[in-house]
Amino acid sequence: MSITAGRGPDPIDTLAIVGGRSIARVDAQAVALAASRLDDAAASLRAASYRCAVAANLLEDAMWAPAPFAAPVSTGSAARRRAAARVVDTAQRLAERADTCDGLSTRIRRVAGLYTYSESAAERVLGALVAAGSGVVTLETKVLTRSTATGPVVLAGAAAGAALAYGMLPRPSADDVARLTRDAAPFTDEAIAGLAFGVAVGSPLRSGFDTGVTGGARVLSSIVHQFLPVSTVQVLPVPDATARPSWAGTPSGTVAEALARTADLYPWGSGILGRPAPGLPEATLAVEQVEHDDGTTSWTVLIPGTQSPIPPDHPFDAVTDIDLMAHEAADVTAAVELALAKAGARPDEPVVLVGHSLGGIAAMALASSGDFRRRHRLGGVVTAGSPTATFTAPRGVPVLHLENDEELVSQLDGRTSTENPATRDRVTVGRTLAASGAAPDRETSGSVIRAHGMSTHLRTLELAREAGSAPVATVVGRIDALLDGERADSRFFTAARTFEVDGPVVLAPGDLSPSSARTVR
Amino acid sequence: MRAPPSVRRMTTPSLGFPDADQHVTEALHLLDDAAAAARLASALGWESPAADAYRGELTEFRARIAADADALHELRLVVAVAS
Repeated sequence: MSITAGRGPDPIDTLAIVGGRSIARVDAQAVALAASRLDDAAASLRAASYRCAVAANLLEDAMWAPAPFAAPVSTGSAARRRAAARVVDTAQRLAERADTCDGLSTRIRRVAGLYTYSESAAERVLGALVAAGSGVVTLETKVLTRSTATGPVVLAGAAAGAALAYGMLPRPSADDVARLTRDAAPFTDEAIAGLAFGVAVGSPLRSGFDTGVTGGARVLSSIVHQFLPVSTVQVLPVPDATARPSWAGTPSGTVAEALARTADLYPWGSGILGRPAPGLPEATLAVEQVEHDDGTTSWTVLIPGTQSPIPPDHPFDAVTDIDLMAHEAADVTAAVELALAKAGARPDEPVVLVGHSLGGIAAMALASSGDFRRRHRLGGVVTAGSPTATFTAPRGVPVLHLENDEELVSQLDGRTSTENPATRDRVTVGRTLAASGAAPDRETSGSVIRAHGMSTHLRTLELAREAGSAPVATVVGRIDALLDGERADSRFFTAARTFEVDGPVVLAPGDLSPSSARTVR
Repeated sequence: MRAPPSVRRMTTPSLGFPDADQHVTEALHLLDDAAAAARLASALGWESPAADAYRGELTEFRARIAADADALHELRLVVAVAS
């Protein structure tokens, strides 16, 4: 007999929060003690449930007799049957109580910033196998393309892709894709780490002997830039004739609103219910100058994500993604600095960087750059759906990352949300959508696009606030103080990339980036 | 006429395999343990909105397991008669 709780977990219980400041030490000790008492209660309830299940089995066994000797149904056996059914119900109920008790214990630890996350032994073994497998496959592919002509391999891949696209091969159904997304989500980080290892080991000089995700991305970045001409980045004010969002001229005020505004900058809009698309051009980023009641000024930069897979006439593309992951000078970071300079930000005025996807990586790249911090005082960083674990954040600067397992984007740094760097100032809120008891979360978990959308990240933030998480409340409160003010001036810029067709450019450590004039690391 | 349940049989450990009613008795004792642990867990001195919410949830939870204990107490008698 299997006794399990029937309901799915509360969405709040699917949150994973790491980093940030815990509560006062004396309160933390009291919370830890209370949570351990609840653990005891849950263990007792589970044992009670087990005892009831055994009792039910014994009652059922007592009714059984081999067919030739079976007596007709008696009053006693009917009473046993009824008793057994009631005992089974009780066992089920006690198992549910044990789960509730575990949930309470986890929740109070999480809100106090005391919860520690760990993978089970089975998950670790499977993760290691995935990482090793993907690494070996990448290395073998590398050997294959070296030992044979690369052309046929590329052509075969392209033909297979085209056949799939034009329906010559059976396309997987939406349900299959959703199932694959949910099943692959827990191991994306290990697969990426393995792939990066294979790529980096295959080209040790290009990777700078870094076998991590950064080294792998550095190899790809180097290869991509071999085929691309030199580019320069310009930042131009959005023409006055272009429609402005309704929020222009008001301060963001909160982290949630700043994130929603960042998503508004996409030409197709944010996808958030009740927020119409303002219709801004591609590659728009926004700079808000916030005046506070004490006479001080702060700046908020809103940076959207990737808007095109291949190099177009703007830098919000996959090449910038690779450059950023490789910790190389990237066109978007250059564009942010140019926009801040054009808006008139002074070095002593704090700057809050808010980014989605590629924009979040750019925000963390700037936050970890000593050059940027010499030019601007960093006030805070907020990222949503960005792989940022390979970047370091300066001490004393509040940083908030919002991620989920099923978007498959934030794990491109080779780490899960709970493996992100966790300091007193740097908080990551992750979530496993597929584990949620709420139907909308489970539906979202089957679509990478919806899981990566801003609506999902805003719900994650809302759940963390609703749970009363002390680390999240602290870091959000510090950033909100800079986002809110008496009045604001919003400026919108488009980043434009111009290619110079003089010849290919090869970036190497020590060179100056042609676009941003920063030294390549 | 059915014999009344034996209190001695329900509470005295047997040298043989325990009967169904003895398992239910043990479950009742474990439920008492859980109630005691939950009572101790409710004595949390932390003052915050999150702690208030926690205390509220725990009060509800304790009421539910108290009701479970009453139900299990009655069930123990039913099982003792049936087994």
